Amino acid sequence: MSLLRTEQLGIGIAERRLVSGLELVVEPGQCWAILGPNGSGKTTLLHCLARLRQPETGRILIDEQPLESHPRKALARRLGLMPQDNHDPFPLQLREAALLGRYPHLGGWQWEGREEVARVDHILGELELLGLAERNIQTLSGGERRRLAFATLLVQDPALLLLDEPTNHLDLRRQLDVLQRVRRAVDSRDKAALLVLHDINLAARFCDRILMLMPDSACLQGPADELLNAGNLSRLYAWPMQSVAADGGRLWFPEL
Amino acid sequence: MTLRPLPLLLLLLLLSGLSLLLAAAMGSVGLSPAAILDALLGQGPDWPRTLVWELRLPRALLAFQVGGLLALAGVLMQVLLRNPLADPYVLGTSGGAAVGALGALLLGLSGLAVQTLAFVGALLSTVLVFQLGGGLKRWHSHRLLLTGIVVAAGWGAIITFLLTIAPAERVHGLLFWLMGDLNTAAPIRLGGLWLLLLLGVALGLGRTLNLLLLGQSTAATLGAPIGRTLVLLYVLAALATALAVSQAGSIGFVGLVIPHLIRLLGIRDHRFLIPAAVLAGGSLLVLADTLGRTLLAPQQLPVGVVTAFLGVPLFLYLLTRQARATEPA
Repeated sequence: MSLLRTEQLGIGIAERRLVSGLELVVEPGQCWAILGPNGSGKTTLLHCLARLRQPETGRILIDEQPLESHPRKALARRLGLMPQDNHDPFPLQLREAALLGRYPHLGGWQWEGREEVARVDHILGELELLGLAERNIQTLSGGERRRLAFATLLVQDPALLLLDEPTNHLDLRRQLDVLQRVRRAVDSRDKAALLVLHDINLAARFCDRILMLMPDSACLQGPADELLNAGNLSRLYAWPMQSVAADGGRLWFPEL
Repeated sequence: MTLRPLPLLLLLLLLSGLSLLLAAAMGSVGLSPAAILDALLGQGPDWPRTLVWELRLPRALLAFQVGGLLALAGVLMQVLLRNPLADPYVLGTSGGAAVGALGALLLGLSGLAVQTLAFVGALLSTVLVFQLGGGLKRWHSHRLLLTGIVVAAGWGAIITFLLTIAPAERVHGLLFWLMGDLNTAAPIRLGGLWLLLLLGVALGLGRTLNLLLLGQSTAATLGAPIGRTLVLLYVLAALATALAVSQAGSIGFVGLVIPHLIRLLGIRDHRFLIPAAVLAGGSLLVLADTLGRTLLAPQQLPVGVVTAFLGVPLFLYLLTRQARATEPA
């Protein structure tokens, strides 16, 4: 059974059509990279999949049931989104913010117990955030705030992870760490992930499937090794691309 | 400065009780603690009982209720609009209420009629702003905020107009209403029940409000019923403000500052923040009103002036303390 399926999905902003006729099937155990130039609809697509906005045409199925038919809280246990950016007008402790990820797992009046706090602290520890647990999130650096957003998604623990540029603001080691953790969750716990990425080499390294949102609102999809070629990538970014063989794979770089 | 939530709530509960006792004791005739106790228990001579039960306590309870409502509305508005500068009047509520009340006063009405028209004006203004701001379908907190500010400016012009055409002998009364006045307000019976009811509903929303701090999108993907929550927040905040403003005029400051004050004390979880703000707002207004009617007695100061006198230094003190604590040395 597919985790996510789209049928003839069309999305747009204002009068501009960004994606049309998208037929996407995401199975457990798959890790997808969404590639595309700025403004090609990557974030809008994720927001439609997360039920934050309505698609123009077509429909979205989660567990083969229409997206709208899932109660909000039950849906939040099936899919979760790490947004592209965060804006925090009010003070909140880092641990309190991460604990909010447990919301879909708790009953209406249920209080977060010792068990929830232990679970959150374990994840914060893994992401090297435990030392900052008492900090006000308004005082975090960009990279620290980003790792908190990732931690909140791990605390939420949905079956399908939607990540909008998860490597933004992260240093090299943390970029690899986040992607490795996504990959591990997909491989060992039968989850699935869709990642918006701008780094072709990270996409090739960590994702087995690619969805390309072309500038002309066409979509290409398929296994990473088939789809990642000089022709597709040059067309995608409107810039000539080259590759060299390295480390058992290919490394992509723009022609200069 | 960070306090654990439960001790702080107990402390505020104690403060609330003390402020009410102080309000019962102070006035043109001072009462000793023993005399108040006797009066409260219905013992001793008649006149302290009348003074406490029929004059001072009803007024103190009204002040407490209004302060609590304003603080509650402030917390809700700030989350609703995701803006730390939001206060209960940000959607033109007090302007609408003022136009209703001044209109009633100019027509020679008084008492319950003024309160009713103020209440209607307040609700009318919030509904107007909600509709003009795009409603739930095209929800955007910035547009809502901007609509509220512009509508409030419109009410402001009408208020100035009413003051200009008002006969000279009425102007003083109108100005007093505008500055916040617990003097002329006859307490609406069961007013305190409103506060409890709204507080109860708001507490039920507490965990969802915490989620909204992370933004509407994140809250929605974490499973919060956003549409329902926003409408409920709007209704609660509008009702609380309308109830407060129609009973006591537009008392500034409490609704803006009390929520931040509690946050500065380290309480961010709305399940604690909301009751703490209600208790603190209520106590502040009781203390302010007690000072307002005793400091320059027999002259009475508008309660809004005293809340600002008390609150501004306290708030600035906490704010600079926090700034020093978070800045690198």
